[in-house]
Amino acid sequence: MINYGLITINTMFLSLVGMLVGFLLGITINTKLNIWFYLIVGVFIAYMLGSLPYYNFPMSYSFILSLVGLLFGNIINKVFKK
Amino acid sequence: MVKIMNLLPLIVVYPLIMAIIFNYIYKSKVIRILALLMALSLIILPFLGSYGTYFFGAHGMESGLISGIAYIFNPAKQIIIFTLMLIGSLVLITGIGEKRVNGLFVSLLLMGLASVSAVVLADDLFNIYVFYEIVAIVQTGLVIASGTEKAYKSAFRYMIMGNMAGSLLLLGIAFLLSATGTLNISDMHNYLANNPATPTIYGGLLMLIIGLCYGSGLPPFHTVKADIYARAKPFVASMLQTYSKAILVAIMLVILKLFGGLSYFNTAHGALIALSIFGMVFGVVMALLQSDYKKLLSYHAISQVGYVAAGLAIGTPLGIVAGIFHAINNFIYKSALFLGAHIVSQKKSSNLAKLGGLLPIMPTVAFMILCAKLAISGVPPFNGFQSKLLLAEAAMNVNMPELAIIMILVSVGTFVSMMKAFYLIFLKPCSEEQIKEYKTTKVSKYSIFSLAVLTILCILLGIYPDIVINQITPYANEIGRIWTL
Amino acid sequence: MSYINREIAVSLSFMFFGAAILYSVYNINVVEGVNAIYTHSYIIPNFVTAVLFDWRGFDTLGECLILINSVLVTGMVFGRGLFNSEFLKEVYGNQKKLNIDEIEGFTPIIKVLAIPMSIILMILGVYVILGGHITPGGGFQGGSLIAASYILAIVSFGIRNCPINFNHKFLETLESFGALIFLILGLTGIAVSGYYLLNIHSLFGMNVFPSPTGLENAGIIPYLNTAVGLKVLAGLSTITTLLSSERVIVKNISD
Repeated sequence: MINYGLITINTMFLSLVGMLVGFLLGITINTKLNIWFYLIVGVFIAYMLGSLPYYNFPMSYSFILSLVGLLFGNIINKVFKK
Repeated sequence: MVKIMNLLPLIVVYPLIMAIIFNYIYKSKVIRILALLMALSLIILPFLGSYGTYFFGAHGMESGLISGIAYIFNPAKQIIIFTLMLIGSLVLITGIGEKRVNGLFVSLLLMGLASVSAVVLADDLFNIYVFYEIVAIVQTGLVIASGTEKAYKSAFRYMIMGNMAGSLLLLGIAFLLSATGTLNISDMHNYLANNPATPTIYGGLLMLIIGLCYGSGLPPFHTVKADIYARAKPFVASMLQTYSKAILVAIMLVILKLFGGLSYFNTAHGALIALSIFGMVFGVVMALLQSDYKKLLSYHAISQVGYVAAGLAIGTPLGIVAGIFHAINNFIYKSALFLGAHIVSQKKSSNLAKLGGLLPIMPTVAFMILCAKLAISGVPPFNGFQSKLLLAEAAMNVNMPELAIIMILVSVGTFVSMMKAFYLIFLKPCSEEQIKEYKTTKVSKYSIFSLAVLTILCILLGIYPDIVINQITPYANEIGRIWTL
Repeated sequence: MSYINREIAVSLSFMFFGAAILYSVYNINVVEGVNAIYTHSYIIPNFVTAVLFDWRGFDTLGECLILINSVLVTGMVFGRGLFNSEFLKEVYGNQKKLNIDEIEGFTPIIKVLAIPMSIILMILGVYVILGGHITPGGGFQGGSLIAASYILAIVSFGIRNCPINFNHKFLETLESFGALIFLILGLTGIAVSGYYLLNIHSLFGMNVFPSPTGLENAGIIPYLNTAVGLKVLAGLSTITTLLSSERVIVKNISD
């Protein structure tokens, strides 16, 4: 059983801010991004980075959520362009 | 007990917020109205704060040292900032009359005002450095705003010099930090007074003086500084020289506060007085040679910087009062002269050879410019006389009659070149066609209004100098030290 | 002859000056002073950020404003808001073809690698900004990383086909917004206690920045970090856009 760490508002707030910033950057990217590629690479990098001190997660959630925010922003950009 | 909130930081923060907003709405149609409102609101800023020490982020005294950034506010600083804001708002009002006024210009002007006030207020060396850098960049920008090739060139030269001088100032502050372990000026003075000097402290003092020379335009930076005054639009130049002089006063007071009364400061004292004499003499000699009105005024600005620096460098209470009072007078009449140059160059150009015969066209403006010219040369009913008298008195009190004589000689030189310029612009006979041409070109009402306000202030301070002197005296007594040669 | 004299004078003064600086540096004897206070009171794990944003937050504000000002002045050099643009018109007005925009960028190999790299770099930048109060890093560093990813994309694709489309309005908004957040968060300090840039830990019984145990004192620092990050990213990217395109000048001088 993998331990995902304690998920509360206190521990996830930082990552949510990251998601917002990522979204802000994502809506400016024009090309189509291959979502699965970035997610896999992102999870790998996040695992290698490790979580921030004081946040007992197996990997860096702020990195992954920022990436998710960026990809989401990119999708929104694509949808609204058409 | 209800404590009234101390809004001192608003002096700096409010113009900064407005500067960013003005930059954002840069081409909107309401810029002129907003700039007018802004100009009016600037004047009330100096009265918001309460006197005393203000700690940012509530980081006050901890284990004997001030841990954060501190501001010190007193009547002397209040009156300096008030004059600064007044001239800022008058320049803004003049700017409204310009054809291509935009948010970017307003924004840079406000940033400069805020940063100069921060330099004046701060009791912290690094904070002074940060805002000093902003002023250097703002001055570059304001010169480039005039958009001519020469403006670009002189601005870039100023910027390159600024990089060097700014980094040297930072190095000096780093030296002082490493030698004393604090950045707060009051704490640093306590440490310096109770501990033996090291070569690091000498290095720090040297670098501070270099930063001072760059910021104010004392030699060896006088040509660069005079160049940017001459290349900027004249009404912008009145703002630029105000910035420089306020920085001179602020950093000079910092140096006096840090090192005043220490045995090894005597040499530096001599060096500062020598620099100011060089400034005075070089400025006026160069000014006598100029044929362009703007350049003439710019070299006079350098010469006046020399006066202010001489008064402050003497370091006695009377000298400091004279220096600060002269700086305030200088803000006023030098800005008036530059605004006059703005009106004259709107009429035709700033080249003295091409002008002439303007007196019958605009007698009121001519009278106001004459007042400012008499004030700068130190003729009695005007404010320049009062402060020059104090300066000479201060020089005599420390047994330096030579200094007083040089001041008087330089005053004579100033009078000669100012009257030459007045003759060439207003009295020299000119052709009929030129008079017709003068009548067709219009001068904006805004700049005449600003000029009138400044002229009234010149006469007012000349008759009642005590309004300013009484405000400055307590602070000067605190910093100054009595000595004779 | 006078030319040589001048050279000698310059080199001598340089030598004296350099010797003075070296002598001062050689004799440095560091006094701990206020440093002891900074290193012995715990606010957040990253003590550098604590000094930057808590003890001396106002200095950091000033540093941000230096960057903003540099961007404004760079814009002005490229013709924005000049009183008189005749000089720029003279230099740039007659050019029919703008050759710099036609450069197609690099080879396909670089183009294929550039997008993933710049996107990963961007996210790394966000991560560095967010971790600024815990790990080494912060707004300045993270913002520079994001700007670097933009520069990478511009260099490999050229400004016209760049996949990352930071247009001028977006960057300007981001920059003004970032600086305003900083300034206004400082003002809330005045509203709460009368001190500008006070680090408010909790407001109405809630943590200002919800964070796990051990980081309760973070207060407004992460927000300030994010604001600085946005501002730095916008500022550096604006300068890059200005430097990489003549279109900006032509657009500025046309109106």
